[in-house]
Formats: sequence, structure tokens, C-alpha cells
Amino acid sequence: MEIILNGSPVTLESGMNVSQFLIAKSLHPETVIVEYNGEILKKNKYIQVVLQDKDCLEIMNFVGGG
Amino acid sequence: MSDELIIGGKSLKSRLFIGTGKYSTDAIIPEIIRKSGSEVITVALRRVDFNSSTGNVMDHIPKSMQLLPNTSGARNAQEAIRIARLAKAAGCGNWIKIEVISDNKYLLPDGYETIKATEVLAAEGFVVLPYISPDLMVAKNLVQVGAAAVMPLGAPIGTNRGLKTKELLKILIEEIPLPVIVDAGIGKPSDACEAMEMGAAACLLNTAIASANHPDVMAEAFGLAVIAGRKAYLAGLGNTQQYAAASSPLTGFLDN
Repeated sequence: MEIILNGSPVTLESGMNVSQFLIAKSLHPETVIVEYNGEILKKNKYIQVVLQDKDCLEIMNFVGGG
Repeated sequence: MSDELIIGGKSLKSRLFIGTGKYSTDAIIPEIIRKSGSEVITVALRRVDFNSSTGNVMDHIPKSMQLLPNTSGARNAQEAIRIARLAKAAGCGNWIKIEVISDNKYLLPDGYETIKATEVLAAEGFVVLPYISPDLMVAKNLVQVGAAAVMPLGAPIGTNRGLKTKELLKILIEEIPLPVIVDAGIGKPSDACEAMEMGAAACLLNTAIASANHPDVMAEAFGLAVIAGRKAYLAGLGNTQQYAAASSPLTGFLDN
């Protein structure tokens, strides 16, 4: 299946939840911010939400800025 | 003398706010914080870049710091509101620096969109610190819609040119009942000191420290400058005049 990750299509196995996906991408679930299909996803939902075909994920983190 | 700055119900001892951008390495940030004495630090929110393994700036910011995420990258109120909500979802508090910019040459902020974003976010309980041009009417509108402070620029972002807007900053300091924090353009400790002498509540700067040959030493210099300027403001500057006025007595000379 395919999802849109930060604006680009990505192919992945079905059945993964958001938490598993983040870890597979070497990201720490605690330090990133996830928008799932346009809605902010609370951290306690990362395990519950299983990614579906055509889902849209925005994953952000804090960077240096002024 | 107790002289704390209170913003959003939080009491701050340091009146120097610092940024986290443009450092050669984020690992220097803890030392910059320590040397500057700052208690408030800005960060930006960006999409994770899966093609590079850049570290997380949050790993270098002590938990004791008040985080001030900015909405840089927002070109209108709607985008700023979205970024603010995302930053809050990260669990790092409810302070937000509103930065709405669609002018890429001078990076001057959009006052109208900034007011709109501030109104929505203040109503949601955010502590909103908007970055603005030093425009009295924009600042007055921000007071009305619930801003916690106003942050007028001294000169365009990253220019290190100093207080080019000095006369307008003075008007804001005089007329606006909120803390006026001079943000952007401050290039030298003497600029920060002058802003504080004028009665600014605080200064926010990034480039001036990050672009110094020795950022840690410059952080200390800015920390001292802000303290000096604040003390001078509290002490009350003496009057200026055209002609000399002797400081020593004009009588009792030895040849009398």
C-alpha cells in the first residue's frame, strides 16, 4: 500500500501503526509531531492508529530558529 | 530591587530571549544558554527530512527553559494558527511567537494576518508573542485581541544592523501597556543595551550571537548588556544638554 508522507508517496507494508512506522523511520515518537489526514494526532493514539492505503501523514519536529 | 518580567503569568529574571538557529552545531546551545543567562528560547517547526540525519534541537535545550516556538514559514494567519497548534501538540507549553511573513527580501511581517492569528490563538489560551513592524496601530490592535507582549523589529531579521526603527520603538514603549520586546536586527550588545535603556521589556536575538566568532563569549556579552541597559532604565537617565556643565565645583581654585 501507499501513503503520502510529508507530501511524497511512500510504499509500506499494511498493518503498521503510527508508532511502529515512526520507529521504522528511526524517529522517537516522543520528539516528533504527527498530523494524520489533516488532524493533529495525540501521542497516546500512535499505537491505536493503523495506517491505511492513501493515508496522509505529516511528521514534524523542532529545529533551530530565531 | 525585585525587577522580574512577567509574561503569560510566568516570572522571568532574565530579559534576554535567544534563538537556536544558525549555530555551527546545536551542541553549543547549552553553553550559549548558560553564558547568556537566558530563560526563554525560540525554536522552529519543520517537516522531518528523511534524507538527512540531522539531530533534534530539543536534545540540547534544558527542560528548565521556557520554549517559544515560532511560526516561521507561515505566510498567512491560517498557516500560523496551524503551526501554533502543532507546536502545542508537541507538549512543550502554550507560548507561541507569531511570525507571518510573505515578503522574502526583507522578511517584514504582515501586521493584518498577525492580528488575525493572535486573536484566534489568544482565545484558545496560547500566550501569544507576535513579531511585528513597530507600527503603533498594529500594536494597539494586538493589545485588544489578547497578545501577551509585542515584539517589534529593530532592523530586518538577520541583518545585525541595530535599532534602525528607534523612534518608532520609543512610541510603542510609551503607548503600549504590554511588554515591548525588541526582536530582530540587534547586532551588537550596545544595541541591546540601548533598547533596554529606552525601556524595552526584553530583547530577542539570534544571529548576533550565532554569527560571532566566539558565540559563547558573545552570549555572555549580550547577557551583561541587557542587565546594564535595564539597570540604567530603572536608575533614570540624566538629561542631555547642548553646553558643558562642570562636574567639579567652580569655586575654591588654588590660585584664588
